[in-house]
Amino acid sequence: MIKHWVWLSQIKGIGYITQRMLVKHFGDPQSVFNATRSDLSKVYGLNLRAVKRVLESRSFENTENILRKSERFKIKIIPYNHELVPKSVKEQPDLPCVLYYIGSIRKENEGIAIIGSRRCTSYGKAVTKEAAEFLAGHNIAVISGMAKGIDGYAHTACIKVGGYTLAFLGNGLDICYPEEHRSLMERIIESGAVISPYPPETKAFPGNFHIRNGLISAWAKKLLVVEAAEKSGTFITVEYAKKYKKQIFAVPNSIYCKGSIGTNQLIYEGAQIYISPNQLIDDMKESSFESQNIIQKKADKQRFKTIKTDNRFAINASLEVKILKCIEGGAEYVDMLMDSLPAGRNEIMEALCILDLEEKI
Amino acid sequence: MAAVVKSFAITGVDGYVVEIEADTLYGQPSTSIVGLGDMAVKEASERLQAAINHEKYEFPKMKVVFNLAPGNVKKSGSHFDLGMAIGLLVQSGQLKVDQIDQFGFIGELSLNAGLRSCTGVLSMAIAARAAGIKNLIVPKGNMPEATLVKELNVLGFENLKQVTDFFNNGIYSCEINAVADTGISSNYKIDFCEVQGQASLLEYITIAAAGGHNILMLGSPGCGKSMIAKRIPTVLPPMTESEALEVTKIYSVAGLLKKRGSLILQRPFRAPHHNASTNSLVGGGNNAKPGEISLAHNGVLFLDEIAEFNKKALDALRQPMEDGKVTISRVNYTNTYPCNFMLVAALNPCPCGYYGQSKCHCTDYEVLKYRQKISGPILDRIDIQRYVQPIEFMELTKGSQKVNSDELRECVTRARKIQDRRYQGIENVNCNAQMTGALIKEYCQLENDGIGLLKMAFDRFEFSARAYHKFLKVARTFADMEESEKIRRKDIAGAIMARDLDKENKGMLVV
Repeated sequence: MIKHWVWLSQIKGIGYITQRMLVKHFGDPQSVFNATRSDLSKVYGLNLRAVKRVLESRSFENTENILRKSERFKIKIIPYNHELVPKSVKEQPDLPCVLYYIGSIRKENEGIAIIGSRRCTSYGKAVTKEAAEFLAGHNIAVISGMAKGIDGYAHTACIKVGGYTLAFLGNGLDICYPEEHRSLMERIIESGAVISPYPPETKAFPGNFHIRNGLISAWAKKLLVVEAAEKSGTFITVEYAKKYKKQIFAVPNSIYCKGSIGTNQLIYEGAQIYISPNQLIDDMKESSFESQNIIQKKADKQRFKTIKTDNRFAINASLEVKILKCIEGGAEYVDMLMDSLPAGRNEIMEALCILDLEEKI
Repeated sequence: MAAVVKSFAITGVDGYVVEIEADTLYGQPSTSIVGLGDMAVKEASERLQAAINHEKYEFPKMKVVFNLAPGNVKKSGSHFDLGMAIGLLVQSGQLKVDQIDQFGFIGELSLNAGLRSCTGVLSMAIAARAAGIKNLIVPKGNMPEATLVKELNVLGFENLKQVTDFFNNGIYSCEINAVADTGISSNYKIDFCEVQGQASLLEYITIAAAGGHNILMLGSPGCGKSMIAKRIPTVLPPMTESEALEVTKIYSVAGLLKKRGSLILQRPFRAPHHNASTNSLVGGGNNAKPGEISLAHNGVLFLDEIAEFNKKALDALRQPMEDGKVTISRVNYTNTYPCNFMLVAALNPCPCGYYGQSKCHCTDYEVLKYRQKISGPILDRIDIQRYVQPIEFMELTKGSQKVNSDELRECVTRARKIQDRRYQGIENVNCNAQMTGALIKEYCQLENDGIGLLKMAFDRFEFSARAYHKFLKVARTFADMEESEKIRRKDIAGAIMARDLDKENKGMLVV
C-alpha cells in the first residue's frame, strides 16, 4: 500500500495538489496506479499532459529504491491521511501526500512552532529557551525546523527538560543538516521525531525549505516568531501560517536591532505581541492561571537566592557585596574591579570564584 | 696499511666518532667512498681531487678507497672532506702527522682547497671531548661554536694549506676572535610592561611559567594574544648552562645557528604557522631534522589559532609532550630529539571570533564544534585556560599599573627554586606540571575548606576526575608563588578560576 503512496508522490510533473486530487477521486493511490487512460481523463481538472505523465510513470523502480533506502535508515513512511497527521495538515491541499519520519510521532502531537533566524542574539536565545521549557513543562510539543540558531535552541531546550519535540527538515532524513546538529538530531529522534516530505538522499536545496516551512505552519497550532530580520526565510513560514489562519506571536525587541526588524514589523502588521509564554497555551489548557502562579513563585525563589548572602564561605561577605555592587554598576572585567575596589587582587579573585560557584554572577 | 683519521657524524642531536680509513690499491685509477654516505659524501671525491691538486699535492693514480666506519650507519654531510684529504695525504706519504688519533677533523673543502664551515659542529665537538680526542680541527667559521666546549683544543683553519703547514712546520696563526661572553644573561628586547591592562591574565601567565603549566589563551582577534605569548619567554627563569648547550646543539644540528660561536642564551620561542605538517612539528623529513617542538626545547612553543591546526599534526604532539623527547623512526635509523617545551596556545572563542560580544551570532552548536577541533587529549595537557580581554577595555585603563618582566621573572624563579628542591632526585619531574598521581597525593594536601570549595566547583561545573589533578597542580603553583607550604583556600580558588573554557562550555545550550 505504502508503495503506491510513494509512487504517487514521485511522479514527475505532478504537484501535491494534483496528487491529493487524484487520491480523492480514486479513493486510494493503488486505484490511481491501476486507472486506465479513460479513467484518468474523466478526472475533473486533470489536463492531458498530466494524464500522460501518470500513465508513463507506471513503474516501481524508483519507488522500490526509496523503500529500500528508507528501510536501511529506519525511516518510516506515512500518507497524509494517516491518523497521526493532524487535521490541519490533511486539509491543506498544497501539502505533500507522503511524509518520511524517524522517531515516534505521538498521538497528541499538536504543538506550538518556535521559529526564528539562524543568526540570533542572546536575547533571542533566552526567549526561545524560556518558551520551549515552558511548553515542555506543559507537555506540549515544540515544533521547529532544526536549523541553526533559534530552531536548534528550541529543540535543545525542550529536550533538556524532557519535553516532546518535532523537527521538520528540508532534506532527506539520512542527511544531517546543518552538520553540527548531528547529536541534536539523534536526541530529537529519541524524544520525538524528525519529519521530512522528501525521500532519503535528498540534499538540502534552498528550494526544499519552502514546503518544510509550510508543514511547520500547518502542523503547529500557533506560531512563535522569536527573531527575524527584514528579509528572513522565517517569513515563508509566516506567510503559510497566515494562509492557514494560525495565530502568530512575535517577540518584540528594540527598533534599532537589525535582527528584529522583521518581528517588530509583524507586530505592526497585527501579529500578537509576545510577552509571556502563557500566551501560547491560554486557550489550550484551562489551568493557565495556575501555571502563572507557579512561575511567579519560581521568580520569587530566584530573587531570594540572589539576595541571600549568608553562606558557609562568607568570611569575606562584605567584599562580595561590594563586588556585586560593582558588577551591577557595569564593571565587566576583573581588572575593572581591581581598579575600583580597595582590596588586594588575591582577595578579589577568591571572592569572585566563590560568587561564581554560588551562581551569583 | 690504511691511514685512519677521526671525524664525526650526527645522529639526532648527538655526534659520534667516525673513523675515516683511506687506502690506495693497485688497479684502475678511481675513487670510491663506502660507509653508507649520502650524495654529499659521495661527491667529496671530486672536491678532493681538485683541492689536493690545487695545493700542489698529488692525487694518487691508483684505486683510492675511503671507508667511513662504522660502515652500517647512514651518514650525511660534506664535513668529512677534510678528514678524507688528510687521510689520503698521510696514506700516500705526502704528509706526516704525529699522533693522528689525537686529532679530529671537520670541514668541507672547496675546489680551491678552502675550508667551508658546516652544521652540527657543537655536537661533534662534544662527541670529540667524550671520545677523549684532544685536538679538533675545524673551519675557521665554526671555531667559536666549537670553542664552547671546554677542555678541548680547538684549531681553526681557513684552507687546506694552513692545515698541512701546521702538521709540517707547526705553524698555527689563527687569531682567536674574542668569543662572545658565554656567561648566562638574557637581554630581551620585549617586555611585559608594553602590554596594556590584562593584569589578571598576567598573573596566570606567571603561574604557568612558574609551574611549567601549558596555557591556552582565548580571545577575539587582535586582543593581544600573540603579543602576550611572545613575551612569555621573558618571564621564564634564565637557562642554566647545560640547558643552553642543549638548545644550541639542537639549533646547530638543524643548521639554524645564526650567530655561530655563542651559546643561545634566550629561551627559544617558536610559533609555527597553522598549516604546519606533522613532520615539521615533531621532526622528520629525509634526513630527520628536529621539528618545531625540538626547536622550542627549554622554551615556548606558541600555537596561534590552535583550532586551525591539522588535527593529526596536533595529536602527534601528545606523546612528546608527555615524554619530553621525541623519537623519529625511519627504516634505516632512529633519532631522538629532546623537546621539553611549554605549550602556549591561542584560540578564538568561536568561529567569528567575537563570542560574548554583541556582534557575535554564532550558535552554541557552532561554537562547540569549533572548539572540539582541539582533541581532548591535547586539552587535557593544558592546565590553564584564560580569556584575554578585548582591546576596547584596555584603552580605558591606560593608566593602570604595569608590571615588567624582570619582576615577574623573579617571582617565577623563586617558585622554581622551591620546586627544584621538592623534586630533587625524582626523575623526569622538574616542575609542578609534571607531577604524577603519587606525587600529587604526597605534595598536595588540602585543608577542609579547600576541599569544600573544590567540591562546590565540581558540583557546579561537573568537571572530570582528571580535572581534579589539574586543579591541585595549579593550586600547588599558586601556593609556591607565595612560598606557602600548604595549599590554601585562595590557591584552590585561583586554580578554579583558571578554567574559563570548561566553565563556558558547561553553560552552553546544547544536547
